[in-house]
Amino acid sequence: MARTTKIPVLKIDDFLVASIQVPLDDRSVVEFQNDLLVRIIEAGARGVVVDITAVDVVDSFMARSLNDIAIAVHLLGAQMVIVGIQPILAVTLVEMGLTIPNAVTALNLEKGLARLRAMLTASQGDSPWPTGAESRGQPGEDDGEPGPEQAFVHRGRPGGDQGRG
Amino acid sequence: MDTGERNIVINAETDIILARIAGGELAEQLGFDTIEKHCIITSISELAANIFFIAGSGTITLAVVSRNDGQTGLQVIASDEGPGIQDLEQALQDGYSTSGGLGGGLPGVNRLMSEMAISSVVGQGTVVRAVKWLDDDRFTLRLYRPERDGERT
Repeated sequence: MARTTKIPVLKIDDFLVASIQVPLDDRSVVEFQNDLLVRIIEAGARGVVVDITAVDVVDSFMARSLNDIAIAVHLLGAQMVIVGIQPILAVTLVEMGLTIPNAVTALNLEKGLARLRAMLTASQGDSPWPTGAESRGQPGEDDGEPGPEQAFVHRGRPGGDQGRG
Repeated sequence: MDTGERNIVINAETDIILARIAGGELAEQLGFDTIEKHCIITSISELAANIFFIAGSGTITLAVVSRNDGQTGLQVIASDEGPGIQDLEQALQDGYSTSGGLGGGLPGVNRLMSEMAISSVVGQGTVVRAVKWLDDDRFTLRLYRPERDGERT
């Protein structure tokens, strides 16, 4: 009863990668979600790839759990991409009328990471807090900075408010 | 071939997984292909989850059954003594759920399996019987028969 399935969360650059290899029960899902959220904070991660290549069954519980996790990840200002949905899974998900509306999907890990990078670049451009005219002109300079965090914590950057006035 | 009934008592979430595994094994023994097996496993998962999350406990019974014409099928019976289903018609509508987004289950099972029947008495419990027949070809995807791709179009 006490045993739960620990899902390893790996860090790659600004991203976290978690691969679900076993069927998840309620407790494991909660543990995984908490683990993932803590790691996002610790690592300052901007995006998460959840790999479900090895998952053979997604029922409505699993679909809802993945969706809930995606919502929580979004609330921390990070993006979540689900990768590795097998063709059979896609078919049964459609038949069951199940969707995971809050997560983006990609074919595999490589495409998932590319997708995250693209999403973060795009969201930086749309940031409601202008980072200043010069850096807007050269988005390359922004690369080292935390992306979505800018929206919430504009530390030492008063330019955001000035730009509006 | 093992044709005896298999009862899986659902008392904990891990029992859902046990039911799923047992169903997968039986489906393989009977010769269901990958996607049909997957439909069966997903349905069992859904029914077992309904038992656990709505009724608390119950039983999944797996059995090999035969149709009048001799066709073989895998039967799943999910029974519980839970609250029962108030409005069966509504429960079979897409997107309907009483357990906070968990549902959508029954219409899904209905589509994944060849046939499904429900009997439910409010306050006494629910029995769902679903069968997947071996000759049910609805989910024979071209994906799994690549050699046929050229012939179609």
